[in-house]
Amino acid sequence: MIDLLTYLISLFIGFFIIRIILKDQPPLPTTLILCLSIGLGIGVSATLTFYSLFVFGQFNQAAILGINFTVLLGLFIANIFYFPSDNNDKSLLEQKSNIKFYVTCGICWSIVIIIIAILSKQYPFGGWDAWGLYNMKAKFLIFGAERWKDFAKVHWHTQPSYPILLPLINTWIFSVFQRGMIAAASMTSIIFSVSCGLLLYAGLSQFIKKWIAFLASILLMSTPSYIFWSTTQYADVILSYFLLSSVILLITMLRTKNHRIAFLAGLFLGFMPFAKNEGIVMLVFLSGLTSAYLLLNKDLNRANAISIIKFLFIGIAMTGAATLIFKIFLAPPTREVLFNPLTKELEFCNIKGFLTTVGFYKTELLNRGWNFIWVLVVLLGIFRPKNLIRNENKIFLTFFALFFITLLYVYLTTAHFDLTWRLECTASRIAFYLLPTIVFFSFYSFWSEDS
Amino acid sequence: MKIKNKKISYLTSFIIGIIILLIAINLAVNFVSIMAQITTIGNRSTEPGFQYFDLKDKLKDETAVGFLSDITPTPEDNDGQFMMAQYMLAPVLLDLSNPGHKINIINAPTPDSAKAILSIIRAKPTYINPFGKIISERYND
Repeated sequence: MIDLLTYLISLFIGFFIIRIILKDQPPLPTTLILCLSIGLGIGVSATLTFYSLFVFGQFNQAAILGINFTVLLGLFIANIFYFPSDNNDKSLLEQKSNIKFYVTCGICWSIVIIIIAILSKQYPFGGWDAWGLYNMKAKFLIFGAERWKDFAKVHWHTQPSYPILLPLINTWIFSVFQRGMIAAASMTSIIFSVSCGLLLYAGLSQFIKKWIAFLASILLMSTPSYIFWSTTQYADVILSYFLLSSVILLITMLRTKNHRIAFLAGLFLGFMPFAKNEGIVMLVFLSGLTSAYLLLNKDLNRANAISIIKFLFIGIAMTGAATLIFKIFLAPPTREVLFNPLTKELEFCNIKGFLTTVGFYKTELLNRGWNFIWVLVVLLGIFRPKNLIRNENKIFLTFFALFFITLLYVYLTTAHFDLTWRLECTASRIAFYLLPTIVFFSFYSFWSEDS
Repeated sequence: MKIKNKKISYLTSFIIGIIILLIAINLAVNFVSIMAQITTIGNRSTEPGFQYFDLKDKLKDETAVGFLSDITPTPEDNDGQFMMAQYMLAPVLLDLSNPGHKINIINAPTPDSAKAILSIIRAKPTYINPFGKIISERYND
């Protein structure tokens, strides 16, 4: 539990960064700022830990703490100078609320958080990939001394090409009190599981009625498969969180045309590739589609659009730099994706492979663990199909379509594994990390008013 | 206009009804899971790779050792022994199916198969733990 203080340090780092970025612009709602602060702060602390490993050549507790506390202190001082004198400005998108509503929310969320905390103990050492990949890599980072880079030399069974944001987060959490790595990994999964659910509420409540946003968050956080996959100590929950936060910020940015929110969205987008390799695809599609939408939008001045895109990409570059360093200097090439399908005989690139993949996903999404949440999402789309292609919604609909096509390509060009085995290992996890964003998008498109 | 609004209101109520129903089912399922967890707690709380735990001390001065087994680990059928060993022994690097190292860990299902591996790589066992996991050292040729 004492590890919670470490998350609190990161929360303050994230909070101060967001305050400085937004400065005197109309602020985002407080709940959204808090939900974003935790992810941004943890991401920044993990990235600083990564750079400290490079600079000091090994895990160095004093260095990691020194860098993080210096950053925290610097941000605190900067906030004193930059903190808006008139901070009573209501968000452009914020709605009225009352205390009774928040008390009810608080009680219900507390119950769900307790459920998540109890069920996270189901597998105290996490799922297969948790100990076999992420926690094992964290051991190399922490205990490997000057050989910390050896995690990239491990046999391919332990996936050395997987990005290391989660092991770095656990390394950062471990570094402060050194109370045990497993406890840190378990707490990280609970923090992100809860933050993702609360973020769904905070994001949605900007655009739709708060009580509907609240129902959406409770529905997500109580779904058995969501609880299971978010507490297995996998990096999927990290990707899920950063995807959702990126989409929320991109929509807010597109609605407000605010440069500072574009920069903030860029920071969150840049973390995705460092969480999982799929994050690279998501980053490329989301930033590409948003840029195209801004450039082709006739309501927006072209110079202004280019300026917003510039801010977006500066944000991406700032947090995405760690992934570049990781991919260039550490990670071996991935075996997951076949970049040149002509080099191999493709056993599954046929109608049978296609039907197997589609059939498997259909079965997965109707699995009892999801408790028909996918059916609800489809119903919301069917009842108001026009909303799915309204204004900025077309960006996200296209994003999901392109992402599914990419997934299909990866499955059909499977060369190193058996397709069914691969589907068994990945389908539920992909469904999991897309779920919060798809729930957000379906509720947003069904209930939100035209901007 | 009124009829349209009424239709929308019915639709919204219908969706909200479904959401509340799904939340109620979720909570019930979670309650059952918690009860099941309480009754089975302790049965599944062994750390992966505990079979290799006592090898850690013996290998603390090594940077990389071989990991040999007569079970060929494939992505689909690997028995997890290699991954469990790597997890438990990290940051010592395990080199799968490479007998070129002076020190090798041997994971064999039977003593006979262990003996066979030892004779092939020309090594002697230096430590055997209660789970039959062997640390071997190759003879100097």
